[in-house]
Amino acid sequence: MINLIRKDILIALTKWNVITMIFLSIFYFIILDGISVEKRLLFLAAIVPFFIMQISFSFDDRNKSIRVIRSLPVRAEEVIYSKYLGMMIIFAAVTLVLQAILLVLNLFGLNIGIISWHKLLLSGVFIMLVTSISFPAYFKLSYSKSRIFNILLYVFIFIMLNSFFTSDMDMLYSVSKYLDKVNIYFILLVLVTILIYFISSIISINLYKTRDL
Amino acid sequence: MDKILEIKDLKKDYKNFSIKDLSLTLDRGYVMGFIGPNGAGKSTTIKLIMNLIRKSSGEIKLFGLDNIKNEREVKERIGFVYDENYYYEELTIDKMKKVIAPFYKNWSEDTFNRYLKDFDLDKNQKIKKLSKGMKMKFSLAAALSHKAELIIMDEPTGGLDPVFRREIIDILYSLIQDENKSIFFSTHITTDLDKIADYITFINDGQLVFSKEKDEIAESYSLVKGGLELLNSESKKDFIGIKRNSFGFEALTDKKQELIKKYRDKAIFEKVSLEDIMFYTVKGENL
Repeated sequence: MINLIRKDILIALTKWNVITMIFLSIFYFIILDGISVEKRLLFLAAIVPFFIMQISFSFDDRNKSIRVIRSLPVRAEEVIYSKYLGMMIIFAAVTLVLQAILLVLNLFGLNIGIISWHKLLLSGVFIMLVTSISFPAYFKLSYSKSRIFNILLYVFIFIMLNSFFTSDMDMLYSVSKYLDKVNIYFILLVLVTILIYFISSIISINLYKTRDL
Repeated sequence: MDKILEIKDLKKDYKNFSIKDLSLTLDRGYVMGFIGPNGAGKSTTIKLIMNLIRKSSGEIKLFGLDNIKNEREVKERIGFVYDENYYYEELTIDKMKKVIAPFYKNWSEDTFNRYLKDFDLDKNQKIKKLSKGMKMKFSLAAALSHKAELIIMDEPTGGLDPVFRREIIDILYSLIQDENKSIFFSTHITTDLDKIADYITFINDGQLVFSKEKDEIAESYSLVKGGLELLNSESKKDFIGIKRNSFGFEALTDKKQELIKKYRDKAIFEKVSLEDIMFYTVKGENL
């Protein structure tokens, strides 16, 4: 499975894709001018993994390259689990990079602090929930056919995130404040999300297995 | 004998096409040419073998193992070459190799590099920049670099110029000197099989026409030429396909020995090519 995740990262992180991602990140950073640096980075942590996975799906679909992957010694289940697990690994990697950036900025005296672990965990929960909706569509319909559905989903996410970060109520922070400590609600939220994520992967496997490549 | 590929009563139903009860067997160390006109079901059969599409019913065994239950194990021992390039076009040959190689326990870097050298492939070249022939050579290099016991090829020579085609056939010819390797080679260019195939399996409209040793085909099939007076409702049953012309008729039969005795010097019997067999079988009597 690790080879499949490696493959996704390798095909997504080509020179031009990395340049595009950096430019888009800077673009997001600029248009979200009204909110703090920490929140903007949190926003990027939620968006970038989707972007990388989107590229991976599009490359699998374009030129029908998934046929090569499925002809290698891998099972259908591994293809699905690798995407779900890969999403989390990419999210972890992106947040690590962002935390590193914050640390460097702090070293230069900007005094921004780093993103707290529970906020990151909430971002992770958010990504897992969106992925749980998004991935079954990919596996049932292929990337090109599910694109419209997923673009609408991402626009919805963007608007949601934007309103979370910019509203007076600052909903994410209200939620994170409520879930500030490791209490029963926090644990429940994480556990239910993991369960949904797992159920979504099982649904994806069943949908994928009925599809002719 | 050691059976490398066994297909039993395979069915795959689509809306307007189906593979119907296909059965065939390939033993270790042999080359099977899988022929049929375009749309006969060759690629569908190969996709079923590779578990890229779901079968409706039937059984596919590779190396004696079920191709779905033991998917990983069997694919470890298969090298595949498809009719089109399905590799990631944006990647270079080297990066694509880095994607494929870790999946195989027996991947040989030396073998791969040797093939790149032999095929004159630059590992820093992007796949999208390669010509069709070079893409095919890259596919072949990847298929041959992990000690595969069965090479499955779907129309590898389709769309290639004669020079590239000859080169590919020569590579396969040198490959079959290793008695442990088997090749399942689908094509509609039947002349490609003259040099390398031991067995020929012919399908038409999703149905098996025959699966025989190449020599056996030469013994039983023949082109028959004669006058139109030989054709009547009874004699027509001896022929698979008949073509009439101003001089008489030309027909395909699979009862060569029987008809030689029957018609003696009234008809001429000529050696038949696989292309003739395909042509007359597909067209039938209506020529």
